[in-house]
Amino acid sequence: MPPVTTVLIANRGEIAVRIMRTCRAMGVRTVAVYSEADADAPHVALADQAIAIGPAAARASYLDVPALLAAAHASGADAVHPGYGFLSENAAFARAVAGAGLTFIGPPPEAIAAMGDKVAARARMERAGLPVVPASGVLAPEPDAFAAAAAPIGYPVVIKAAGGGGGKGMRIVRDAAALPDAIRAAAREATAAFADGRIYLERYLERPRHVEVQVFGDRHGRIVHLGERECSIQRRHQKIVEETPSPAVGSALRAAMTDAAVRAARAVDYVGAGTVEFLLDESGRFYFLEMNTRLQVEHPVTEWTTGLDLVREQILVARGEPLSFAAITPRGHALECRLYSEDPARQFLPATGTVRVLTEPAGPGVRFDGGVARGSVVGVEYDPMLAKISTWGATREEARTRMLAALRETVLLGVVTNRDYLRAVLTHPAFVAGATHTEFLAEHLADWRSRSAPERDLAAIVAALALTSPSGDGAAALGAAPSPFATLGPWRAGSSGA
Amino acid sequence: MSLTVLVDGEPVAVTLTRTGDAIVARVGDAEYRGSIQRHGEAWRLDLGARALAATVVRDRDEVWIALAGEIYRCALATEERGEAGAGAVGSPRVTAPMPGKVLDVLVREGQQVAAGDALVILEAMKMETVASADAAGTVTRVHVAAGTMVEPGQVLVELELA
Repeated sequence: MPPVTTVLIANRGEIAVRIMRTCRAMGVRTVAVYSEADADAPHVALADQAIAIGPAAARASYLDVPALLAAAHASGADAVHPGYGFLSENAAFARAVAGAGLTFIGPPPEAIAAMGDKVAARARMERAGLPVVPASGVLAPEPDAFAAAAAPIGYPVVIKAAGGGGGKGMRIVRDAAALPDAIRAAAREATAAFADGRIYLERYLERPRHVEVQVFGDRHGRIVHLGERECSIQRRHQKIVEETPSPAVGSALRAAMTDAAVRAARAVDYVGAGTVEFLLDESGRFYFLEMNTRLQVEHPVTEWTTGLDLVREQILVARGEPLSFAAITPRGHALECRLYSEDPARQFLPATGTVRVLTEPAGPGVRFDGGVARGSVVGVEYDPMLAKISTWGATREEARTRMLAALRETVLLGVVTNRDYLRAVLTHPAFVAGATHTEFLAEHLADWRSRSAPERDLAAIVAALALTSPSGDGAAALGAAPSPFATLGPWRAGSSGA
Repeated sequence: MSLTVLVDGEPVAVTLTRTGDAIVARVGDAEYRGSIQRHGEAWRLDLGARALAATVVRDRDEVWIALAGEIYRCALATEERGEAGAGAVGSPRVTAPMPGKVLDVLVREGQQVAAGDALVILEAMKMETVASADAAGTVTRVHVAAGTMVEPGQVLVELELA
């Protein structure tokens, strides 16, 4: 059995932190890797050892396989956890890790490869008896080829990357005239995200729900599911709110979907944590979308309702041990919101800056998975997700109201975030009613602007004082003598009582 | 002291006077009287019906305020800040809508463009966005090339409007 006593985490941000927490709880040593941009990042501070692997650009650091393997050897790591994104679904990386005599904490390279090629995976799943959406094969990136393929399928269609998922390289096309621009953008994004510019086309379902099933396999031939998650609230085809159970899935549908998911995993001899994604249409029919052969961003909601630690199970499976649990009985309801550095009022454009203040939410049924801390610089090189907030409740409504309280408590100053947009999603009557689908945000919140601010006048007064004060916090931060006048400025404190 | 503060981009006129420890502030038609205590980032406002705690940080020419569950991003209004080319219709200067890297420049100087034509493709955090002409015209200057890192608001292309 492979030992897994020292794990190198080939990732950054919240997921690196989250993986390290489980490692530490299991008595496993942790090794962080970091780029020049991340020297002060929380995942570096938390690790037992941290190794610089290159410049800020991901290609030269978090995607640099030789640099990662060298760091593993230098640190004495015997296993590598890829997290999500970066190299997590790269079969060549999984092989390189194994080839270097290390344990890859993830599925076998064959399963990654089988599901990584989205076109081949569709065909394979169709043979395994899963329902799939009508689609083309890989096409030459030319309007004529796509127009010819789209004709029998019917518009709207969606152009997708064959080399990877996660919404990267996806473009919805409603008529042939829009094909040239969409093909160019999709191919370019696919190349940038997956180093694989191959694209194809499939029928675009209107207003479906995105429902996925968490599966887990061990090396003893056992493959189980851990229930579904609904992740319909998406912008730019990327999820921002997730929950389990899905408000749309009753017990009969759940049985059918989870059974299909387990069949999908079995068809590729799956081992480890994986997620089988489906689209669920308004009539209750579901279609295989893709399988993500890694830990999913939204795995905490499943952890809430099952009581399991999925990273712990991943490590047990990597060691060759059986899954730790027999049957699972999901309990209650869990929600997750992703906190992004982006401006929802301006087409979700990424925002950069320095985190000046970060107050994390806490309390019963509240979990915060963060990847930044006070002083963290949010640059343009990496994914704009800063943190995840998840909540649990006995009912969906309890989880929802806890989430609203937790979002209110989450204070991140210095970088624009989508926090208030998330609050608007959670309070929208359609969300409260569970009437969610992948067009939800476009349909209900397209014109969202920052709320009418109840204390705007007071904020203006405070801003006027802060901006005209001779002692901005810049002066204080530079370590000027701590004179009370320097810290208080021209406005003297009436009393210093708490 | 009278000044205009941009609160989340909205101009708000504020007049402040101080007498001893007391503050009198006018914001529009409303008047606020009371006091403000500052302890680093932690401020305590006693200006009305209820006392409120605020977290206040300066970041260059901006101030971020967390107050009563809301977050405010404020700056002083100046002529320069007054809506710097943020998508004004028919603007002859096409600016970067986000920070990031220029992936491709699709036009040359002297080229005629129509309203809506894509001019420059930007990428940040693995997301692409297109800067387009918002009116027809002729490209007079191209300020960036593939690989240039840009800040939001930075001029990418200048046009002479038709």
